Amino acid sequence: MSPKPLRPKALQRKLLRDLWGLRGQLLAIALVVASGVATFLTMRGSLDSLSLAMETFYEEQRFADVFCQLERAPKRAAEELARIPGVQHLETRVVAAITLEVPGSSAAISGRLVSLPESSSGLLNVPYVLRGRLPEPGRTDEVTVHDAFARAHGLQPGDSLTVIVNERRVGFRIVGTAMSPEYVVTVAPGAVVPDDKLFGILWAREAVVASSFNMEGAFNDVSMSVQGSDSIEGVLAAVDRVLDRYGSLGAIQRSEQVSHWVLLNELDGLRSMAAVLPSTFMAVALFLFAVVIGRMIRGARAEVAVLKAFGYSDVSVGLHYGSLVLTVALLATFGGVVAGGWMESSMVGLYARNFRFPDLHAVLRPALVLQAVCIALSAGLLGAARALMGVMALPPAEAMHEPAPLAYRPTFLERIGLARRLPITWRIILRNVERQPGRSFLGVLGAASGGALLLSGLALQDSIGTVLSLQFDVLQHEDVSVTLGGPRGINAVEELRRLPGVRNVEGYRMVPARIRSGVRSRRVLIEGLPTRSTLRPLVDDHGRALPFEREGLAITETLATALGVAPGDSVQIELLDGRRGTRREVIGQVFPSFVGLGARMPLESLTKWTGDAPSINGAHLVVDEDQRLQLMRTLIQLPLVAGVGSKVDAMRQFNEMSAENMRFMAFFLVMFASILTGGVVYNNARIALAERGREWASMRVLGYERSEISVILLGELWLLTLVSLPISMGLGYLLAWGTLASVGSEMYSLPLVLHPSSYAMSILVVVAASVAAGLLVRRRLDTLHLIEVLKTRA
Amino acid sequence: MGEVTVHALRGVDLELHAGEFVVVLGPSGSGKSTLLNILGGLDAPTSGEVRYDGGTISAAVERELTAYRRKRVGFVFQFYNLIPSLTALENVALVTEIADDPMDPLDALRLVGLEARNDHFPAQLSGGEQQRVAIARAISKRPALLLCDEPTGALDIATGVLVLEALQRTNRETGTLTMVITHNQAIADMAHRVLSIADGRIVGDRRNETLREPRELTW
Repeated sequence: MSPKPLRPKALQRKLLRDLWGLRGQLLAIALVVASGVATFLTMRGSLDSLSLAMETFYEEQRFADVFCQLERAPKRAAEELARIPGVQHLETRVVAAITLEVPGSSAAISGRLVSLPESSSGLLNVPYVLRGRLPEPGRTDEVTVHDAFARAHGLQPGDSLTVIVNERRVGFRIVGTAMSPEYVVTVAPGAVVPDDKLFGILWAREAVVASSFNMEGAFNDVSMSVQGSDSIEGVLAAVDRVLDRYGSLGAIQRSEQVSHWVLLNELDGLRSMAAVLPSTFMAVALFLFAVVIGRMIRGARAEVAVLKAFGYSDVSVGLHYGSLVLTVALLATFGGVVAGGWMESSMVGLYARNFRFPDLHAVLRPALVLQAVCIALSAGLLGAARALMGVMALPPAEAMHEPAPLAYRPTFLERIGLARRLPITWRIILRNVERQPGRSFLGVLGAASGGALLLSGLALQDSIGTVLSLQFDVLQHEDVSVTLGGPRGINAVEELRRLPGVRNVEGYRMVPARIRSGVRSRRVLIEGLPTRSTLRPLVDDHGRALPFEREGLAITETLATALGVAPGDSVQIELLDGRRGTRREVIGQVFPSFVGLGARMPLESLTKWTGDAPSINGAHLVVDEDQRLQLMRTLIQLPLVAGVGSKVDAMRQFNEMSAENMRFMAFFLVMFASILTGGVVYNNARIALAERGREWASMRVLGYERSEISVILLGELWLLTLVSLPISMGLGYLLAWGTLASVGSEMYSLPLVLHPSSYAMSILVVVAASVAAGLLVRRRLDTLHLIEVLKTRA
Repeated sequence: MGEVTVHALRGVDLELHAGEFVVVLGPSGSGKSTLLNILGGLDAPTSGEVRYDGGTISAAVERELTAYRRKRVGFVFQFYNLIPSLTALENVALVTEIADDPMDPLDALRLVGLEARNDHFPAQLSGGEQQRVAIARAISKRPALLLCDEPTGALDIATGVLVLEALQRTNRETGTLTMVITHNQAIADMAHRVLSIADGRIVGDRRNETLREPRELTW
């Protein structure tokens, strides 16, 4: 039986002294652990906050499960829809494209006017009123506008607004601002980037909207809630059957609804980041705990022997060192929780600017914090496990002995005859690196982790930037794009061409369709473009133009994969734009695209096929820049035009939106990379100092200058850093590839792009962190105790 | 806590000459190590002067002290302090590489009888062999002053004798002023001159009329 510790307080005091003695190294580990905890809480907390805001908002405002747009159906069709098994609630609406005139803004603003049931706030997709109220039943001059649009234009309840509905100018009074689960993110039709200044949502009572669009007793939009998620597929098919004859565009479920889709993508991205970032930190923390605690215990063998000889049990000695690890991990976790809480609220704040929820605030569930604590403590204990078990198993008598001296041998380079003329200091460096290859390798890997993390983060920015520049510079040659209210004759192209400032026009026709191959099917928009389209060319991965085959359907690689088809195969195409004809078509071409599912065919073939006279429902324009604004104002007021967008606005909006996010990300990435690399290099240096400080002091006594000794310390550190650089870049590339693959989906895929500047930045941060960490430890060489080494045993 | 000034050495007035083999005797805490540290340029006296060959070490700055140790002084430590990652030959070369007029490292090893083990690493050598490598390292720069702090302190008697023989041989063949600090009275018998230190003062300074060979010593 082992005696009970006589004075446990003595051990506690020793614990505090040990902590203080190792403060620099433990601080470096603590920073890594804290960063891991902070990123974990930031990502998972943001995920929780967004999910919670989303779920609450969706539930309270009764966000629908199934949506369908159509040309026009009589109200009685709704009764048929309501009888579909699984449909719980159903609401028909009139939703129409409008043009807006806002006092003080000369921009071409488009929007959507959404009807509210005459006497209630509705059963589904209920607007959440933030200021003012919803329009009074029976009032024809009242609208409630989306809060984001109101804020973008500084509009208040009481202000007035002119709406061009169906070629008539109608004045409205704003009575309130609201948010809606349907428009958490508001993207204008045909736009890539949401822009609250140029696209707005308005709600008015049904009578007003219906009479403005000649839709009395009819509807062109229906939403449904569905009981049980199993019945969704059945409901979708049934809705399509019922609404076929009313010009349905095909029923879609929530995950295909634009706003929700964008939100889902963001949540997916967060989820994968929440897995990658914290694990990197914890892996490095584990390594650091292993080397630092391992070294500490090796250095304290005599102490352990004395403790055990005095009657402290193996367990209490193990607990003593274990509690040191736990203390560091706990303190670090505390810091990580504080930092994570702050970072999460900043991140949620950024989200709140792009995602319109009435109540989006940072939540930090205690369970999540507990999870973070457990992760941090496990990293500490796992890392130190070997050392702790070793110290517990050490018999007191053996602990009194010195550990066997480390055997060295000439390095591989020397053994094969190279490096014969290597200066002695470099032989010392290389032999030390080679003597503990495992530790050196892990040290290299640890130092590499910072650069890898930074590089993968920068890759995300590079890739998004590349996609956008490809989109804006290579794929979209138009300056202005126009969405028409519906299909128009091909002479609309000429009509547009005659407008002042227009240099070139290409009409297009977009038709929603379902493409099937065997049991696989996907819903896509088929884009009908002129065969010799110069404004929307087909390009390969490198941005080089591909010829557009006249025959057959050209589809994206993602769609080809999803359907399992190749050029020459035939697919069944079901048009979803009212006529709902079905036919077979041969795949003429497969082209790469990052927008995921897409298909295009020559405009002529498409319209011939839809049975229309040659027609378009949109056009791309090349215009004189100095006449662009005036032209856009003119365009938006044309009866045939439903929406106008310009590339310049989209680019500006994207830059505004992303610039801050990117700065935020870049700041934290650089900080984290520095902590990782700096922490590892610092600890490597301190351990080298602890293990070989005596050696260096001896050399000082023998007459070596401080600078000559520094070469050994820094040379070894920086050699390992140098080796870590290519590994860091390789790991970063892999990490980026994994991250992009996990955030990509059928809807879009990001190409992996890394600019030389990103490599340079990562290298710079790794080098700077390692130089700084090395210099921090180098200062300690100045205070090496020269006299001590003359008297003490190794 | 108030400052307490402890004088390790007081009123030391000493002159040492080239070619001398000096043994400094004294109990622990007597100040003999402080004397060695000051002479070796590792420490500076709070007052007084140390002159060497026309120069003043006691007023030297850190860089000058390093240069002094590098060029003039050879050290032999109680625990050898060899660099474990270097072979015996390389440990010697460590010093010859930075010295002005060094011996060939192999010659230095030959002087201590270890030329056959030149490519062994410290972990492959016995304690006595390691100490002889340390001596070879110290003498290879042809120092003017060889300072040895308890060179046999960690060794058994037979091995200690081998080490002392190496020191004596070096002293005879190179004429290096050799100073051995020890609390082992027996070693005093092989010295030209024996200094006794107690309580920070030199309490004895005698010359041996007849010198005994190291292998005649016992302790």
